[in-house]
Amino acid sequence: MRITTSPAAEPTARAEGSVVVQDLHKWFGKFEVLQGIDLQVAPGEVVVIVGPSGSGKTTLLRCINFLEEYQSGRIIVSGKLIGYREHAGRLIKLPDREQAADRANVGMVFQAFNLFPHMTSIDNVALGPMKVRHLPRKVAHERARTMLDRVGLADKVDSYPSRLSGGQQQRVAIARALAMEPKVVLFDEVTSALDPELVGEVLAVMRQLAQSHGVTMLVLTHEMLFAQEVADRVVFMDAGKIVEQGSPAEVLGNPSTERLRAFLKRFQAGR
Amino acid sequence: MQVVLNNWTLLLAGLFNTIQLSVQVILFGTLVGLIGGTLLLFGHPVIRTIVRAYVDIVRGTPLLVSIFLIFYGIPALGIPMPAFSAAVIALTVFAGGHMSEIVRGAVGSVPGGQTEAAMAIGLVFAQRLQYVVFPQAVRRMIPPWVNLCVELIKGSTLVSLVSVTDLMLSTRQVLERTAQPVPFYILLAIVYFVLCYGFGRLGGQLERRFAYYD
Repeated sequence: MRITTSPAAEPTARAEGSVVVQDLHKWFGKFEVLQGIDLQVAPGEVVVIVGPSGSGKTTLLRCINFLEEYQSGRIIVSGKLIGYREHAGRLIKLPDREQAADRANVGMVFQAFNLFPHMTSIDNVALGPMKVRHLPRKVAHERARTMLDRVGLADKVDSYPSRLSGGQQQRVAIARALAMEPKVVLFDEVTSALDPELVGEVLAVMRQLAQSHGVTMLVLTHEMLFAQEVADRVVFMDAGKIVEQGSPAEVLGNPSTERLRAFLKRFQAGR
Repeated sequence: MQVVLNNWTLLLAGLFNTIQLSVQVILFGTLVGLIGGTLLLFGHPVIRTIVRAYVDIVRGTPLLVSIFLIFYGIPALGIPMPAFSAAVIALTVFAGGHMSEIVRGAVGSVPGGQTEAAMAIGLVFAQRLQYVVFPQAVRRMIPPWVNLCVELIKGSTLVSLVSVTDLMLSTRQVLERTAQPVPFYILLAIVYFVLCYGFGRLGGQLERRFAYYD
């Protein structure tokens, strides 16, 4: 089995855009979803996490944006402990305002898009910059326009989400996350809810983002081809643990554990 | 007909009282409901229990009982209270309880993903409610809110039993001078119908206005 630390990440653990997960444990009641996750991600790195459903990968992602609390371990983004402060060796949850400040620096794109249906694309994208970053309306809208242009939706700025296809909605959601200028963006199976013919346009936007190396990306996906092409590293999770990780070629091409082999096989059979 | 014409000022005063009462109760009741509903969802457990008890008591007791209770009860505590104010309070307590439940239901039915998306861009609790959750909840609130308002307009007739001269009581006062109650009650039914139907139509308009994003 390969060892679970990335040698490149160690010296950059405090840098902007780095993500460090240390011995993370989380229980849902009696069920331990995350059983000691260690993961180090360097700034600008693109990490694709694969694994069967129930492996805890979504929970891990949600912990990184503190949408989920955890019982022990640490998550440190850009050198800062997320969601908690440490006092006498114990984790104490931060007040809502400080949690929000932590979340603002980590972008998240959801499987179900979760666009605000009562706002147009541009208002969806500009809301965070206006209300969290306190940019003037004009500046925020300017930025929103730029972001929507970047995801190829310059002509949809004034459309409500209900008028957009799933692929377009997801691209607006990506623009909304990027408009906060996060150093880290989390993608939670963002193409799983899309019709097959719409998957490509969303992956194209993500590929472009990955190639710009401006942000650290943690991507949960079942798109193995995307992982192969875009990921700097692939992480395989199963039953609340990281089982294997390494370059896409190593992990996907030459899996060293039976579990990953089984997963990939099941995966190919299912296609 | 002649009797109506002869007593039109009295009847009009009654109508005015009914409208005034209804408007006040709808306004205050909605305000109480917004606060109550929000507390039911997000309040401290102790406060939540208190609001829960309030809502359950209001929903489980007849409106007429609370009207009598407040009309006789508050003066009994040594606080002088005009009948009209007692009526406003009683109906507001009733409306607020039901409104709380409507608000709780509507706000609670906004999908959790909306709150999470709002969290993910760094909005704090109050901002999440203000910009994301409430605007979507308002639309879900409108139909049950209109229903409740119509019930309140009709329920306001009960205050005639504690000597508030609303349209009900003024009409009864006039019809007692005649030997023909039936035409008066028909007239009364028509006026209340127009009020309630009109309000319902207004609600429909409101609903369409909030449907702009479909």
